[in-house]
Amino acid sequence: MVKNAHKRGQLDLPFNWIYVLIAGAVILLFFVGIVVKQKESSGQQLGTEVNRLLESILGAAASAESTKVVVQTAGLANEIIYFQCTEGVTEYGIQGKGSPISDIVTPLFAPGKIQTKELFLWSLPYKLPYKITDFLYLTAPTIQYVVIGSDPRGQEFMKESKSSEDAAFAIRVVSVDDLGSFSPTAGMEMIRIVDYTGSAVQAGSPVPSGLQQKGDEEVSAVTFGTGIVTFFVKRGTLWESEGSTALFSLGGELDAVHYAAIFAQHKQMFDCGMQKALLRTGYVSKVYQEKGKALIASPVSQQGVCPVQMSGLSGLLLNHHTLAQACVGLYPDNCIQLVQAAAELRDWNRITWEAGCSPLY
Amino acid sequence: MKRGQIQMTETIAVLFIFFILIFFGLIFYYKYVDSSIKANQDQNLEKRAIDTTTRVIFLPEIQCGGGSGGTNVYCIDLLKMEAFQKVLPDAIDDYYFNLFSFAKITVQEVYPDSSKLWVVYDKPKKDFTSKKVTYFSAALQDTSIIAGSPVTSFGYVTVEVYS
Repeated sequence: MVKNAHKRGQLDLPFNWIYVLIAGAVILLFFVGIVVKQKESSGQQLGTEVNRLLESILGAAASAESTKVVVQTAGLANEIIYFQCTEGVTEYGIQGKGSPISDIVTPLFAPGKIQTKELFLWSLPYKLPYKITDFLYLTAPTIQYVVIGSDPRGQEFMKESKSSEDAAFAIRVVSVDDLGSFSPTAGMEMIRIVDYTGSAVQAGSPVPSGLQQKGDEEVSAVTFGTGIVTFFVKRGTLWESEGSTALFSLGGELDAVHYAAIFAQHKQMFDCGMQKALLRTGYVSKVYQEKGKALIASPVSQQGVCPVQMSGLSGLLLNHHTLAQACVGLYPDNCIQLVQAAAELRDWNRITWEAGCSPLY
Repeated sequence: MKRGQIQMTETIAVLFIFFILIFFGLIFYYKYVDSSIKANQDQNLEKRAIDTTTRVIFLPEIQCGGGSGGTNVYCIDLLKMEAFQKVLPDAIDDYYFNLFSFAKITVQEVYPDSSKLWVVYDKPKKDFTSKKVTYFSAALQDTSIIAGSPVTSFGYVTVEVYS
């Protein structure tokens, strides 16, 4: 009996210890698993929160007209913020972290990827001829814009690259006469050539030697012709055209479409942003069409020369609205006529204002 | 009681206490996660209220014109707003829901006629759990009364957002 009890004790002791070790290890693994999962999900959650914060900042900047804002992103200096736009939907966020933000309303023009300690946000109203929406441009102090040619739009860009209210807002713009001898300033990660001559950058021609060692995604160009813009990307040592498109705007000072072409790195982002703006044009033009009807029927339109002036308004508004819808459906083919219709409406509004009648906008 | 029975009772007691501790731990964790989710939702709703209000303030569809294509902030063109009311029902799901989501936007005239109220946008959320309301004052311009000089009244805009 004594011999048997001793054997049982010998068996019991190791069994208990093995049991405790296995159970302890399982419990430890369980908690380690929870911690790892929690860390992963908190990283994703943080990414989502930062993306939402970014959405708020961009939304506010896009809503307020003609704003120049510097956003400190030092905490995100190691992260890549990406922007892409396809089929009228802009998607942006921190690459690989959290849920990205999708936006079908705000026309946003930016480089494909930014890694920076500061973001420059600039918004300008898009008018056709009345205000349709605000364009939002994004850039960073690590992006250098190289203006070629003595076009007034280039001079305006150089003047507008700084803010009178915030000294920190300073888009890096340089003007050069000869692109061939240009070398980027130290610390510049991305170079955007803005050519107003139409000859400095051409498809198949060599990229300036000072830029050849840079990556393909780090160098791009845009050339402005008469009412037309062409986008270029670097492919090895040569320029490759992404295609041309018309500038659907009434021109003038601070032309939102002109700046959209400068700040959108690729033609796809430019076209996509324009499509968003033109979609909004369809809705805003419908509002103005209804306002026009109310204005024509109002007592104010029966005074003096106003009845004669008002008689043309319905046709102009109907034409504008029809062309806006056609432009959205078949971008960019039907959009030139929309710009012409907008110019007619602008002239009508000016004459109506001068005649002392109530203008449309 | 035999030694085996005592050992068995001990083991059951240890397991019972162990599971009680695990249970309390899970309840504590659940409460923590639940409260942080609620705090997050509240924060998101507040953010959305501010975003929506900003969008209304600068909405080209209702903003007063500056005469040359420009716009005046904190000013609502009554003719445009009434036109927008007519256009909105057909466009709310296709477009404007992306701008305002579940919200209600009303404009109340205060002076001279405090009985005038316009519902600009109304997309209620059934079974909403919380609501945030923000207000901002605005000039209300009517360009259909006197040629060349709009008649201005005063009011405020109420923006309600639901989650």
